[in-house]
Amino acid sequence: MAYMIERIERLRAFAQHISFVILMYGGRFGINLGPAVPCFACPFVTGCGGYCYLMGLQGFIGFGMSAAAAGSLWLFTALGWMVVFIVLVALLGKIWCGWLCPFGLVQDWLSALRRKLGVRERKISLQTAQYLGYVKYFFLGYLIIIPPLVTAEILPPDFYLPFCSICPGKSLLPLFVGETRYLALDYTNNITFALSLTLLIFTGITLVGMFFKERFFCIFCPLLALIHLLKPLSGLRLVKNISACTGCGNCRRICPMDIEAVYLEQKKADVQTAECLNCFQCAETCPSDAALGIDFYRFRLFSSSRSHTINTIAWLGKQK
Amino acid sequence: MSDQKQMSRQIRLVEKTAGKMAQESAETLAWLRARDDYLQGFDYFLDLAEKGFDPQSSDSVREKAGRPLIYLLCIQAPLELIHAAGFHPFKIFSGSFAAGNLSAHGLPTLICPLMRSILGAMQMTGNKEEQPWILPTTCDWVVKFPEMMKLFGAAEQRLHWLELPHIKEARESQGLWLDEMVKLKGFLEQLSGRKISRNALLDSIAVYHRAWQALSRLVSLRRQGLLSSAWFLLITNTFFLGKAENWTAALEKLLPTLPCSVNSAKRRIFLAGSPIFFPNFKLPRLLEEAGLCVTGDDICSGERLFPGGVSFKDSSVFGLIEALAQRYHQGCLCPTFADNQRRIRNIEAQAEHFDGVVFHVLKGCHPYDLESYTIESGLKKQGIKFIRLETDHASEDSQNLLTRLEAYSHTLPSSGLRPPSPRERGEGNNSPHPLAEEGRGEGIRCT
Amino acid sequence: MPFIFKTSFPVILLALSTSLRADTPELDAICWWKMIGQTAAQDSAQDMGMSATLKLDCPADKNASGKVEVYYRIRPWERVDNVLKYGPPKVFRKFLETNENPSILDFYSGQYENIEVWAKAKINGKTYFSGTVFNNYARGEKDNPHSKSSKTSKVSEAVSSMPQWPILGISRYPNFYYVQTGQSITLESSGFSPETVRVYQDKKSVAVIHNQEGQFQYTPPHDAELSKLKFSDYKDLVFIADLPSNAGQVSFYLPLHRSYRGQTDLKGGLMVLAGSILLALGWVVLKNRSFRWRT
Repeated sequence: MAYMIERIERLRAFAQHISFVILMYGGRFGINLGPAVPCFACPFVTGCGGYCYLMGLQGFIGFGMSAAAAGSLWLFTALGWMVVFIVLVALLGKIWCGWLCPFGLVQDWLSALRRKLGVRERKISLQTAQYLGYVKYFFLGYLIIIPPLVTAEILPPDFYLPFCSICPGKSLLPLFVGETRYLALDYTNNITFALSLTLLIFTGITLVGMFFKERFFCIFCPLLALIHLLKPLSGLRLVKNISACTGCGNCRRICPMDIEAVYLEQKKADVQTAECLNCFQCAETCPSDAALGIDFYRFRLFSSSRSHTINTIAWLGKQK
Repeated sequence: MSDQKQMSRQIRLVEKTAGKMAQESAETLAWLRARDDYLQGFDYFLDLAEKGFDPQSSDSVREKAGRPLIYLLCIQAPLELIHAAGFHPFKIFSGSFAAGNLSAHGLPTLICPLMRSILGAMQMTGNKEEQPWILPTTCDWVVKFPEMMKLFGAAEQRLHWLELPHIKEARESQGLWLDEMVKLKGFLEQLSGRKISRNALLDSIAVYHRAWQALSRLVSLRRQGLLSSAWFLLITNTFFLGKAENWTAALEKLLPTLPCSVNSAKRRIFLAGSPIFFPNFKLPRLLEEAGLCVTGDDICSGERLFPGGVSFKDSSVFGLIEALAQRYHQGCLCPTFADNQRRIRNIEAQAEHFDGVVFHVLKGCHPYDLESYTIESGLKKQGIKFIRLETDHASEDSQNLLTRLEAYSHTLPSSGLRPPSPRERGEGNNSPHPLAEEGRGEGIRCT
Repeated sequence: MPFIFKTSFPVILLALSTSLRADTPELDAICWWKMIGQTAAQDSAQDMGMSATLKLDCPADKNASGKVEVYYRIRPWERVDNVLKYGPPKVFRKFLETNENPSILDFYSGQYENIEVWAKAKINGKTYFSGTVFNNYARGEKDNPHSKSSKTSKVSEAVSSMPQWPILGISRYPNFYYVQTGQSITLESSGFSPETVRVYQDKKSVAVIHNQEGQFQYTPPHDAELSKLKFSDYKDLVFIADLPSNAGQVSFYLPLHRSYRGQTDLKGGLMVLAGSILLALGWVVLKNRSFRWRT
């Protein structure tokens, strides 16, 4: 156990796998974490242990705006789950993304395969990455605006879960329980056809992207955007001590999301950006003492140190 | 003077210099061996130094390394890449004053003493073979070095330049350096006749990482003043004189045997500035005599031997080379860079480990000389004591320096006296030395 | 007060003919159940109740002069070996004879239940039996078999059994919330043995199905209009069979929903997926060409 705790990355891999089992198969053992899980615990996986809050959010915004819902117990319950979601995000922040998301683990598996095969990781240029980063806010807006339009019957009913209909998680995660039905084109009507076609195209692109780029889907994930919008409520912080930074660039090189802010920042201490997944690999590979730290409110959970880096990098090397 | 006379004069001079060089080396080694804190574990390094600084050194080094040599200067060429190509990176240096005198006549008066010394030493080896060289364009002296080599009669060398961008934090510069690394890879593959494989790179990184681990543990010890700078510099100076794996093994064997006590009366200082090369251990001797204990340095022949810590996300050949490029460029604190502000911060960040800074400037070493002023003003603002020593390989100014250093040490604040360890008190003698455990690279605290 | 069902001449003609040409006239002549609505109600944070409203329509009996007997039975769905099944009926209930026309009945469930309803009405000397079956897909544990009439608020009473009426019924309710287009339905007759059964989908005559060893197979075709509506929307599917010697008719009603996943094409989907993967791979390969890797 001491070995695991010394290396945050090992602990994170362990957490990811446990979370995967619980969120994907937990329902079969009676585990139900509710509909407010702040990561991709896809409800379309039969026997899942909790529901991704994006589905709850779409349903809440959609049905919640209808006259039938006004003052009803349903609305009250839905608001309660929203509070649960906010509390979970306040507690763990982006840990949900970097440590607990099953879809994130799938991406990390593909990345491990790429590393094992020695395939070069493809980079996205800085300008392109900036533009692509806006897509997640677009998706977030999309999944908030469409459901009320469906409830108001401006849009056809098949748009009722607009993001779930195009989410690669819906087509890929059920494969882990042997469910291939979401890989089918849906000819029921024009809308379902268009949505299923879009879903499949997104899935294909995402699969290739996830293999060649670390955490490719997280660039577009609306849940990441939503959790980041709630950042002021979260106590988990990535903090930089500017004077200890030697500018070696290890943090930028190791970051799965190619964040440069941690390396470039010369003024403020808070270096957790919108793309940050809180994987904390930057803090682990920082060879300067106390240059990067992980804080939870006032508690310092981890400080970078040269000795920790020595041990960590040896582990990375053996992983090949 | 006729040509023949000149030639015979030169031959005699060379012989005399060879003798003087051997004397210098022997003197330093004798001094080291006679020290109170001599341990058997240092023998490997002493032996390397003895054989390696012989003018016929390259044969010895080649034999010890077991693979063909590539000659280097400075610390920007990635050692792991050279090693992965099947070569042994051999960083040339010499601290011999006598050798410097040999070449003095054909060089400016004010010249980097290292250059002068190396050029002199080269005359003695004859330098008739074609050697592969890798030179980064760091300071002016290095840039002009191959020309001077030719002037001194060296054979045509197989030289590969690494155009070092002197700006570290610009994206374009980082791209340029990466291109240089790719070109270097090409050069090495041409030399060796085969491609550098991914596994070879990973293995080489592992080899140098192990060396870095051992070096880091040694550094942690000296942070607590448990190792004198003389021994530390001997160990780091001899790194390139044999196989890296053997050096690491010898160091790992040495570490548990190092004493766990310190003379708490000594003031701790941080040694910055121009590198110190064997056999010229003048400054370490003087510092000790002045009652100063060196607990840290940022010398490229000392702690900054090589950056280590090569972490990577992309483990393809390209990704590994990119990681090496970034580690050797962005992490380098050589004053040849234009944007070296972080160097001051780096020294300040370690301020808890020392009471003052001694800045060593070699006469003619302009980059360090200039930077010393910036560092001085930066440290003064933080209230850290600073002294600049300008010297060269000659020993005439030793007394002068000693006086100044003694005066300086009296101005230093009394160091936070560490309470004596149980070992010093005579208790807990059967507890194993914390370094005896493999893999414990933490800031070693003696208990 | 007894019902008096008036019949009209065209309807009698239609009832006697076996070839179907006109549509709604037959439906106007018989009695048939129709589901008016089905809504969910949040009982508590966990439980969701479901309320279905059925209408028994006998359009021929304008004066509501006949009497109607209604029976219904409830079978809760249970998970047996991880498979949903419904077991033997838990409750048999009967409404007292009522003379409302149309009579509208509410069925409320606190748990996931399958409900079958039958009615018998006499109009102009003919007996009309009507039946329907549906799921109340509630979620919870509440056992609430009480159902009531909307107009009179009369509540049903429990009985131990029901009389042997000639009925058409579905042999096995599909393991899904409701009957969908594209889903094969097997009808069985009980108490009588008709040769053919006429099918009306969305008030249009669509098929005549023949007796095959006592069973009638029918697969409602997909309806483009229905497919555009919500999942909870439905169209009327009515099966009508004649009683022997013209004694009357038996109808069976099913609310027909759009197909949930019946119109999918996995092969086509996989081809699209493969195509997009290839395109993305091709793009990566093309981009790779402009990569600076001079060795």
